[in-house]
Amino acid sequence: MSKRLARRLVAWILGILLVHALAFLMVRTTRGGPFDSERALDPQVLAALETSYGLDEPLYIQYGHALAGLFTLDFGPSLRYRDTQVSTLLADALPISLWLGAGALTIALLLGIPAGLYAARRSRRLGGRLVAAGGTLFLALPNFVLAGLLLAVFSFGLSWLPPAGMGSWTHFLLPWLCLGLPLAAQILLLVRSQAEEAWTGDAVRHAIAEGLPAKVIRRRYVLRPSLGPVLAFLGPASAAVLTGSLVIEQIFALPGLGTFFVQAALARDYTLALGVTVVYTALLGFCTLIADLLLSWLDPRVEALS
Amino acid sequence: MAWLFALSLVCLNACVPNRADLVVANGPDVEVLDPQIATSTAAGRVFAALYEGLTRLDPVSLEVVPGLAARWTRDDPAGTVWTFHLRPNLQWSDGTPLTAFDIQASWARLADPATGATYAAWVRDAEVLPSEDGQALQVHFPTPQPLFDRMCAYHALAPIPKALREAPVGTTPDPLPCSGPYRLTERRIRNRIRVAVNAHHWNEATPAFASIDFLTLESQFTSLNLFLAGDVAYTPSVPDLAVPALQKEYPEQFRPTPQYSTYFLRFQQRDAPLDDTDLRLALIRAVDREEVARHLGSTRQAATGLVPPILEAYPAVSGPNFDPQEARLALARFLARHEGKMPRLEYLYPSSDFNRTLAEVLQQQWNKNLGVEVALVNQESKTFFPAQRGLEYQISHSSWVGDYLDPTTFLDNFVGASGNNRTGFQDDQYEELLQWAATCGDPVLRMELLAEAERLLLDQAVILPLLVDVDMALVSTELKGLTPNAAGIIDWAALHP
Repeated sequence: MSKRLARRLVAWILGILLVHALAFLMVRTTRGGPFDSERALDPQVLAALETSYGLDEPLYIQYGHALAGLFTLDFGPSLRYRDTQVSTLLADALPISLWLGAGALTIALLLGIPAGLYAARRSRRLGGRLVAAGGTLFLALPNFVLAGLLLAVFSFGLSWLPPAGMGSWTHFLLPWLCLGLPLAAQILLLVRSQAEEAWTGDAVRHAIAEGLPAKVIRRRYVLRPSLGPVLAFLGPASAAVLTGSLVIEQIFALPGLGTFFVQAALARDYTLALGVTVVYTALLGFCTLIADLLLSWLDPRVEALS
Repeated sequence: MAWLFALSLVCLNACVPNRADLVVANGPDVEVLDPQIATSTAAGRVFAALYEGLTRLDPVSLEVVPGLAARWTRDDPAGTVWTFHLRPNLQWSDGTPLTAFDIQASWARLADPATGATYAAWVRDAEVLPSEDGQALQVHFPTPQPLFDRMCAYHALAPIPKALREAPVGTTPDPLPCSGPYRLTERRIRNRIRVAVNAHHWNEATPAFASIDFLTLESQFTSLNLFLAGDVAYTPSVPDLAVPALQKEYPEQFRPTPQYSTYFLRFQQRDAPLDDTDLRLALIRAVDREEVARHLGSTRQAATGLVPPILEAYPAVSGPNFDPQEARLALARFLARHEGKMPRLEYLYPSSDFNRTLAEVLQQQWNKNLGVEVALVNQESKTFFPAQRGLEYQISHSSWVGDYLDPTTFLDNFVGASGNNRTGFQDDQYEELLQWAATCGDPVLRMELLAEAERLLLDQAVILPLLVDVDMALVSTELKGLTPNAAGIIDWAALHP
């Protein structure tokens, strides 16, 4: 186990280095620069700016600086927010994204797993079919449409929740639902298909024949095998949810990381683009690692196979 | 997951804000809290609260009125020498004295290429001479600057504190001394900027709102939602889709006001085929701007010239207008010279919903009125601008917001050496007219000369003016003292409930 963990950690670090190098190459070879705008800068001013940010140096030297920044977690000043360090931007935005993502994940797990089990148990009845249809609907619904519907009902119809901004936890309820419900739908459908298979499988039939209590059968022979694919799915999905969503952040005016992903690339903010890419890669690796460990604990065959 | 939740909760509790006395939506983020570097209108709104220039513009009359300078003189008719006398005992918001030496040092920083300021050229050649007591300063220019007092109202020329002048790259001084009616109390990137009354401001009349929150709201839909929910008292723009409903249901709050800003098309005339004036004229005359404005349905008005018809002193100028018959004749002349072969034409625009709709309307009009197919090509803005600057286009979308209320803020772009020309146009007569206007002491004649230059630009089919932009702000009926104006100026200290 510890050898496997060490191997995964090394792969994680190498992955970060590789993604960082590729991201550097991509952002630095894309046309346009951070100081291109409607108003042309005086050539002297542009040259001074490029010198100030080291953009006039050969690409390999710039990569060297970027790599050194990666090891010290100092990505330098943002080229768009010129009076702010990238590390400050990330430190401000990350907690908001984590809070948003953690809430959405909690909703997704609390709704998705029980609903999936229910839909599997009653797969031939109306209730089960309705739940499964609901899952498909939420999976198909784009989150900006869902946001519009929730805003129309809860903010403007019932006036229960604020439409946007940050002030209290109530400001996060709608964003949590918008991010969490489609995720819950995915979990629901995953759990449903696994649990349906489990209910008709040999293990459950055998357990029933042995007269095991229904509670034990549900937990040991239905729930446990159904959670494997959910965990495998949750690794990368958690990283995506925890690093924010452009659409949700813009609709609800939440200053999380998601918007930086898009803005940094569009604004040619090289340093910020590298910073958010590294954070996302690190989080992706971390979440996948945790999911793998949980999977091994849940099903020892995974450990044995690997 | 639990630890993530706990960690986030701790971090988030630290950033839960209470409300300021006045909360306004401010559109996109103010990327840099430096009035010499930031140029966006969103930044301008915040700087109007935090920084004051030697002069400022009256929001109602748009005349130049005293700011930090109590009075000033233009010491020669051409405007090469200006003298400004500061108000007595000016202070920064931290109580330290604000003198003419601060202005001298601020302008030296603005002119320094290392600062990276867009408006560095405004004071690059200026010699700034403060008086010994720091209460006055004289500015000498090698060339006439007849509008320098008006330019001083723009935030790029406002003095900035020593802490900001000496701040290393990538840092913001904290606290940040300010010179305006408000001082900075908090800045959260992509969230909000909070300002509170500056007790050291020269104006002893205390503003009605002790604090103001400028919320960063990238989405116009979100701004509108917050306005409708009563969470913000002002939003600078609304989605075009909402305009008809707002005009009908919120006539008091929604009063679109023409701005000193124009949407227009550039024709790249260095290379074939658009080096041919007839082809450019054909494309211009085939566009019905009234129809374009109607189709976009956003209260933006059809433009007849490059300079918006805002200034009374400036004569209305109009170039080649919509005339499908003349357009077809011009095209026939072009085709006759090119063996009847119609070249492929492309229209380049930066990606956005508005720009796409505009492009499609133009494409349709060229097709309908001229029988010409124009291919539409869109690029994201950071790719678009280098392409436009490098003249790698045939027809391109453009817009310009006037920096100050004078035609030269538009016309100077089309001199051959300007980095904002981007058409390949160079005309000696045009440049002579502008130079003549710059040295002309008679304001009426000066405007005539500038109008003549604009007429020449339009007649040579360098650009196709399309729309005059409008300020589509929504202002709550509970917020008084805000007068919509062509320069988008808001005197935050004059607002009251």
